[in-house]
Amino acid sequence: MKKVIVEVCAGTRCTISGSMDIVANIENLLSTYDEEGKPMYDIEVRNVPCQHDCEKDGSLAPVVIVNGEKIVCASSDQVMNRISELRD
Amino acid sequence: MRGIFTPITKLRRDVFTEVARFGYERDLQHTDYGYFYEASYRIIPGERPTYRESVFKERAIIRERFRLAMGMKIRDQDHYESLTADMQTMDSTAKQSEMPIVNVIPFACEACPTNTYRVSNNCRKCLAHPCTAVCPVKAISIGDKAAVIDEAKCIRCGRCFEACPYHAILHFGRPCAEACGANAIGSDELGRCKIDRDKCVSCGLCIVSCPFGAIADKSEIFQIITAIRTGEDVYAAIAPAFVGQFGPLATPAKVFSALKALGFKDVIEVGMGADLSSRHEARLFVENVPARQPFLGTSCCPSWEAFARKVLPGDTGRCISSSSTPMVATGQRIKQDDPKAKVVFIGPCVAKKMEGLEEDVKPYIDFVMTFEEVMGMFAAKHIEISDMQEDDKPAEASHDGRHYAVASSVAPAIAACIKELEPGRDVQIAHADSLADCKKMLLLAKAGKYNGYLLEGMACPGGCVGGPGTLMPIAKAGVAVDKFAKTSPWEHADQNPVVQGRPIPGVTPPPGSATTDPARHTGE
Ligand code: SF4
Ligand code: SF4
Ligand code: FES
Repeated sequence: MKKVIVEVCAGTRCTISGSMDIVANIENLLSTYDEEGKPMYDIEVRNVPCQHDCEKDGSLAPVVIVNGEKIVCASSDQVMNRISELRD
Repeated sequence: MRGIFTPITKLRRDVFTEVARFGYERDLQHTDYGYFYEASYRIIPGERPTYRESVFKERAIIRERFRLAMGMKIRDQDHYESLTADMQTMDSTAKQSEMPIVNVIPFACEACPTNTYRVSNNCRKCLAHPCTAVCPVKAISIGDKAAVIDEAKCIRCGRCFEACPYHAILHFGRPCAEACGANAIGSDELGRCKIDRDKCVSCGLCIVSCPFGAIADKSEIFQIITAIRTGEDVYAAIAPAFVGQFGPLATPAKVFSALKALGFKDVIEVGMGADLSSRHEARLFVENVPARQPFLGTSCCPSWEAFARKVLPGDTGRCISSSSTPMVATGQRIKQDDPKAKVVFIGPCVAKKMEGLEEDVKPYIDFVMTFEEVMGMFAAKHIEISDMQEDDKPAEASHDGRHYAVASSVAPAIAACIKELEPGRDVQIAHADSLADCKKMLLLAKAGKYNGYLLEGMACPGGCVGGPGTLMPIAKAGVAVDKFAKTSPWEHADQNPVVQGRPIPGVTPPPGSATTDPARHTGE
């Protein structure tokens, strides 16, 4: 299991577009355990300020950066998929 | 859906942002309301539908949402009415919206089945088939491949649903009706959702529960921005639930600065009004319970108050305090200090929009809007809250006042003030959050089970932090509110010097306004 760093934009446009709901979903992953009771994920979530991808009428918000790779117009399922891929 | 970000949440917020942008950018002399035709294409671009069967219908729904967000009624669909011809009547710096606040957009409603039981393909046609044994009207039988329910006979008791070992019986309910604790949702002649106005208490929970986004509330964003742009002194009274709503980087002090950047002259914490209310209700309790009334119900949630009066008509209903709510107390305080002030209450709440329409509240509160709506204003004005300077305004509310936003915090705040007034007194408390639980509590109170109690009721599960106008998941919001409350220098309302010596809420009308109904504001 590799550590995954997730940076979620907490700027105005991204927040209104649900970035904090993505955070809530990622945080749910932190309390999933395998059969031996070990945590399944090692994730660090950071809130970052506006990444300036939102200026075009919010069309690129919300922005989430997973291990340095930027996902625009992110949705929870996209981000969680990426996290699962990077974990193993 | 409540507490989960979905495409409906996005559409709703896009609508607020477009209306706010229109408010800020329009030419005040020569306004072109044709903007809203164009804006519906911005929200629903392209030719292919994303959410429904046709892109035209998607845009038509957005246009009705624009009307509601402008504070207007939605149009009847059986004859021609212009989208924009009557919009200029909304161009005002005074309140325009009227009841009903909560509206169904009928053609957006998918007429969900009401309370039906169906057999799913989980049915294994098992030997025991307990479903048939438990059905009291013999509506379920074993067919060729699976159990079959005769809809005409079914009395919707749910026994088969409970008895099936394979969970093969499905229950369909209307999400809107299930969210409505006031039992106000029925059907029109086409089977679509229709709200019974006599029962509805404007809690707004159906709005955030409909999976098709068919229900929406009226907004006052446009009049608020117009008042700001024409140079009125517009004050923001911000409800205790605001902490954390605008994201983890938007500290309370930055939110204050950001609101000023929107054009608000000053920002006042409604937690301060909550302190005034706590003190007032403590006095009501000490003076009247049990001598004049068996119990006292809190007043801060307008849906709870309206609901309680419907559940307990007559004398018992009067045991619910209708003294000035934290919102009204805050408005009074602002207008005492600046008689020219226009006060905008910003909160998580749809029901406060209904309270704001009451004749005796209007002198103190000019407009009501939600956190989601004000977030639309930030987005429209490109205000980055985390980039703001921290406002250096000192605290005005106690820990208890700031905590009002979380369920089961209101009664203890009042109880702390009661202990000040009558040190030996042991105050018993009961509380309920959700109208269904409020109803149980009220019926027990009526039966005399809560004599001598202080009853706290809230319509939204979790309290105000779970309100329909919020942006943050409920648990996160609760933690943020708690953290901010702890930074107050004062624990209880009585220790807050800001409210000491302030007139009793409601007794002194602001200069220049008509005298209000004393019955309401003194709670007698
Ligand atoms: S949940 Fe929505 S779509 Fe279904 S009946 Fe209610 S209002 Fe209509
Ligand atoms: S009481 Fe609440 S849930 Fe019921 S119809 Fe009215 S606003 Fe909707
Ligand atoms: S708010 Fe997230 S990129 Fe600007």
